[in-house]
Parts: sequence; structure tokens; C-alpha cells
Amino acid sequence: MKKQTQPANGSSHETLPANPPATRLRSKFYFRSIRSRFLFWILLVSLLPLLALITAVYHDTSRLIREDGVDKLVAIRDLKANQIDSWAEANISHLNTIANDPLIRSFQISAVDDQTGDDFTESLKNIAKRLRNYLTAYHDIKDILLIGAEDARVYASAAGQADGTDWSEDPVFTEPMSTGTTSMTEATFSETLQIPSITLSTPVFGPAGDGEIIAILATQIDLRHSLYKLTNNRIGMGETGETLLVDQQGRAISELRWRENPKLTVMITAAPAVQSGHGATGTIEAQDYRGEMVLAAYTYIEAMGWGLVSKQDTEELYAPVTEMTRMGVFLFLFISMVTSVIGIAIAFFMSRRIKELCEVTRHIGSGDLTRTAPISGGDEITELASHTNEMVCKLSISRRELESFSYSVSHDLRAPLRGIDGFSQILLEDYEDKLDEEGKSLLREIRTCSTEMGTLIDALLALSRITRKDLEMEKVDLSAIARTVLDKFQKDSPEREVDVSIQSGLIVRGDRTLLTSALSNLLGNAWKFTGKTSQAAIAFGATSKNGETVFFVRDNGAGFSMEYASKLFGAFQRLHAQADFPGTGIGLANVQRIVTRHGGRIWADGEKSKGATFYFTLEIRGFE
Amino acid sequence: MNYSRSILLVEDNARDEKLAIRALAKNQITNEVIVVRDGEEALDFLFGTGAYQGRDSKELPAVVLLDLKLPKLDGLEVLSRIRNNENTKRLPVVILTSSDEENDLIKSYDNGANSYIKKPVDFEHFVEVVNKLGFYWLLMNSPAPK
Repeated sequence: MKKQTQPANGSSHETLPANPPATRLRSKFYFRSIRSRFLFWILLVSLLPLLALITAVYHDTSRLIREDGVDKLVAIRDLKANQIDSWAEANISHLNTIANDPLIRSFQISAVDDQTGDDFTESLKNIAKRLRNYLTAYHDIKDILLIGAEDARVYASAAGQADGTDWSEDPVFTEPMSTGTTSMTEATFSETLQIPSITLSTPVFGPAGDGEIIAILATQIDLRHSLYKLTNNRIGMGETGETLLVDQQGRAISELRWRENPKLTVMITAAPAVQSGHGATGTIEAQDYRGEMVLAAYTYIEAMGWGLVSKQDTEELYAPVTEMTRMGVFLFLFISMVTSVIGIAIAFFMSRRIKELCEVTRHIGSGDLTRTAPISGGDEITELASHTNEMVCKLSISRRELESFSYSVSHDLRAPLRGIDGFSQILLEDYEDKLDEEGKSLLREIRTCSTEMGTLIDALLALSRITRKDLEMEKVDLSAIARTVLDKFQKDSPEREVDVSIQSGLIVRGDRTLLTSALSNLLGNAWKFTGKTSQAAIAFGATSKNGETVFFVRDNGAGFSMEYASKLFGAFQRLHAQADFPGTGIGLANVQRIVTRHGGRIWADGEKSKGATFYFTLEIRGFE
Repeated sequence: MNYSRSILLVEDNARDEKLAIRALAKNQITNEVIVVRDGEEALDFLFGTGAYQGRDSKELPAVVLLDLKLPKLDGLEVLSRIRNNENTKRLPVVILTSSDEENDLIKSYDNGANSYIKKPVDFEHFVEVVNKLGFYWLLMNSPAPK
């Protein structure tokens, strides 16, 4: 079972190939820049309450508007119903007034026996004249008939002739005759008068006061005159409101706003009218007879047996709501825009200095210690900038110290070594005859030691050089480098048979010299540690983890025990005997420095005698 | 005295001097070797000043082997003065030093060094280097006309 090492630079949030789910969860609210995070929260904090406020106001106001609409229509409905009641009462009372007229009541039924008598004729003339007088007094009444109780014939008419028509089958006559009370016909279109009308009829009792019905008095009421004035009065009902009347069958008996109804023949099946005709009272939002949505208040007028509907189109009624919605949306968009602009501006100004600082530290990071962070104002960013400058200052001091140290090492440490080597050689040459074999062998050991030390000094210098070198960033084809390096190894040791696999097209941005050195080192290790492996295999490639490219160099060579994984990248640390696999122990330290200088991480995965895989990342900022 | 075939070795370390002379001898380079211990002495010799007052400064060695790390005046300073002097500005100067610092290489060439050789630790290697160096600068190379 293979184990994983932590990334060599200590950042622990990612190991490979394991992929912790926490990273994915967190990435939902992950922003690549302070600016976008700032903007996100500004918009969230400002627009959410705004949205809530607008919604609340909208909800409340639209409810009020609806309630107002209902209240208004109910008020109109009730007013009209009252007015119609009064109108009906007035008509009945007019009828009764006429029926109680002593002249009418003096209508002598006995005279019927002597219909040709002058007295009778005279009396009928007087009655007809009186009826005509009533006709002029009551504008709603278009005709008044006096029908004899015994023979159901018309004896007097205010508008027409007493033509003696037989009314014995007509409810106008039969109803009051049987009930002894006032009755009313349905509203109809009168073909004779060419008007929409109803007919009221009531018994006329004889002057004796014994309850004898001597005649039936009928008045024909012109609906247009005052009823339609009532229903057609649409004050307060806007451009689409109307009040209409239906009978119990749903027949419209008033004039309609949207349809011609001259002969009262239009049947209405819309819910408000039907319900009111059935005696119900209430409010409803439904389609009217045109199919338009209306808000309607309806009731039943008991006195007339009519349904009354006061209604208005919802479109007109709720126009303020629509208008308000438009305003709300506009307001929201406008404020969103203003907030966005302000947010972007604030985010820009807030993050600008951080970005500047970032830019400077990036340069410093890539080795340019001449950069300083701009100092302005006195806030935390300035503090950060001055701390950065302090660090850079200390860093350049230690770099200078390192440089002079390296210089000393380079120059002064080699001089005595040369002495040791040179004089040993001179001793070997000049005193050959005085030295025995053991002495010569020891001198040769001294020379080997000094050469080794020379190699170590060179390696150490190379390491410090990597740290100090300025990065020259360019496009680097790692695949091509790997191929060149491995070709060279193969050429140097043609007897080796190694199965090499290189993924092509791995192009990154970095310092060519350093990356070549790092890759040579890793591949060199792979080559070296597979030296004793039959069917050796070396692979170079890349995988993608969490959007990051991870390069790897894999071999099936000597490997290493994970126990010592942490020591892999330390300078002069070796996990193999010099005799088995020679080396300075500086190579991986070099590689790690190169990777770190490119903003990447390196870690390894291995098993003794099974092979090793070295993973590394390079911070790739695209090819900008 | 005619110095035209001589070598001026500027070397503060006596042991290194001894090794250099040994290496020259091993290569049968018999040309006279003038050894000076520091930068000031090197300039005095070349310009005929100080301890070398009166020396004909027109007489110049065939090549100067110059170490970089020297007491008083360092090698780069010496090189720069040689190049700024009308008489010595074309004198072949070979930097022979322990350092292989990039900076030293760049500065040496910037100051007009003709060649830059790192002294190897391995003596046999050093002997070989001296052999090639002597062969090139003393036999192959044509010096500037006087």
C-alpha cells in the first residue's frame, strides 16, 4: 500500500491523488480576487434588503388597491340597489295612489250592465282624463289601464284607446285578482310602445270598503326613464365600469356598456350575473359577459326579483398595481445599477492598493529586490507595505551576505583544496621512490577526498545560485526538455534498456534554465535508481487536480521508504549508500528550490524496491 | 631586460604560486615567470612605478595571469587600470581564479579580460589547463604590435 507525503512546502490542503471534498464545498464561495468578493457582498447586502422592501411595499399596496376596488364597487352596488328599491317603491306607491283615487274607485261596475248609458260613458271619460293627468304627473309611467274586474276588459286607458281587449288570461289581470295585492310582470320589450318596460297591476277596491275588487289598475313603466338613468350613471367607475341588471334567468334587463340590448334579449352566463340572479350577494373576480376579467360586486334586489352587478375591469382597477410593479422593477434595476457602479468603484479603490502591493510582492518574489512597496496614508495597507519593505530590506541584506558567503566559499574554500590535491600529487611524483605502496595509496585517498569535497562545494554553490538567480519567464516545453534529457542519458549509457514514456505538449511558463535543471535532476534520479531494475520504466506526464496541473516523474526503480520521505528534499540528505547509487544529496534540494521559486510545490510518493513518483506543480498564470 | 616572452603571475597565495610554477614546469614552459603578490605590485611592475621605479614600462610580458581575489587592489580593479592605461590597454590578461561566480565572469569580460579560466581543484587537471593556456598565449597568440 502506497502512502502519500504532504506537499513539501507544507501547505496541507491538498494531497494527491486523494481529493478532500471540503475543497469542493468551499469553492462555491471562492473568489479569485478581493474585488469580486467585495462586490458580491456589497450587492448582496444592499440589494437583498431593497428587494425585500420593494416586495413588501408592493404586496401591501396592491392589497390596499384591491381592497379599495372592492369597497368602491360594494358601495356603488349597495347605492344602486337602494336606489332601485326606492324606484320600485315609488312606482308601487304611484300605482296605489292612482288606485285609491276616489274617482277611479267610483268606477261603477253596475254601469257595465248599461254600457251605452250616457252616465257610464261620461264617467269613463272622466276616468280616462284623470288617468292622463296621472300620466303627466308620473314620468316613468307610459300608460295606465283600468281593467274591469268582472269581464277583464279595458275600460280606460291613459295613452291609448279603451279597446275592450280581453285580459282575462293575462297575469297582469289574474295575479292581483287572485292575491288581492300588487303584482309585477317581468321586464320586457313592449312592442306597442317600443320601449323596455314592466307592468305593475293592483286591485281597485270599491268605495264601499268591503274589500270588493271592482277593477284592476295597471301601469306600464318605462325602464329607460329613471331606471336606466340609475344604472347608466357610471360616475366613479372609470372607463370600464358598469352596473347591470339581470332577471332570474340571467337575461340582461338594463342597457349594457359593451353590447346592444334594445329588446332585453341578451342572456348573460357570466358568474357574477348568474349568482346575483340566483339571489346571492358578494364580490368576485371573474370573467364578465365579454370574457374580460372584472372585479364585481353583486346582490339580489328582492323587491324586483333582479340581480344587480356593479363591476369594473381589473385591468383598469389594478392599473396602479401594474404601474407600481413597473416602477418597482425600474427602481430596483436603477438602484442595482447605481449600487453596482458604486460597489465596483469602492472595490476598485479598496483593492487597487492591495493589487499594487501584490504586483510589487510578485516582483520581489521572483527575485527583484530593488522593488519597494508604495507608502501612502497610514492604514493597514500602508503598514503592510512598510512591513514588506522592511522584509525586502532584510532579505537583500541576507542575500548580500549569502552572496559574499558564497563568494568566499567559492574562492577561499577551493584554494586549500587545490593545495591538498596539488601537493599530494607532487609528493607522489617527486618522492615516488621513497614511498611504499601503502603511502602512495594513502596519498591517492587524500586526493580523492579533496576532489569529492570540490564536487560538494560546486553542488552547494549551484544550490545557492538557484536561490539568487533572477527568473527569466518564458514559454518552456517540458516535454521537449524531458525528451532531450532522456535521449542524452540513453546515449551516455547505450547498454541500458529503459521503457520511456513522455506525455507531449506540456508547455508552461517559467525559467528555462532552472526548469531544465530541475527536470534533468528528477529524470537523472529516475535513470540512476532504475539502474539495477530489469525492465526499467520511466514516465513523465501531467494530471489535473482541482484545476491545477500536477506534473510527475515516475520510475519503477529502487524507490524509498515513506518513513524517510520528509528527508528527501533536504540538502546533503541521502537515502541510499554511496556505493549503491552515488550522488551528492543536493539534487532534490535543488529541484525543490526551483519549484518553490516558480510558486509551486513538490512532493513524493514511493515504496522501497518498487519505485518512486515525484509530483510537482508550477504556478501557471496562463500565458499572459 | 626583455620581458616580451615572460609571464606576469599575480597571485597572493604562495602555495598557489608554487603549484602554478610546478604546472608550468611540467609543461616545459620555460618562459620567465614574474610573480607579484598583490594588485598594487602588479600595477607598479606594469607601469614602472613604486618598487619597480625605473623599469622600462614599454617592456610588457606576453600574458598576465591575474587572480581576482587579491589584497589591496582586487583583480577587477587591476584589470580596469590596465585597460585604462594607454601603454597596457592591449596587454593580454587571463583571469585565473577559483571563482566561477557568474558575476565575476561578467565583470571580468566587461572590464576587458581576454580569457577567464577557473582553477580546477584536481592538480592533474590544472596541469592540463596550464599547458593549454601556455600553448595558446605564448605560442599561438600574436600580441599587439608595440
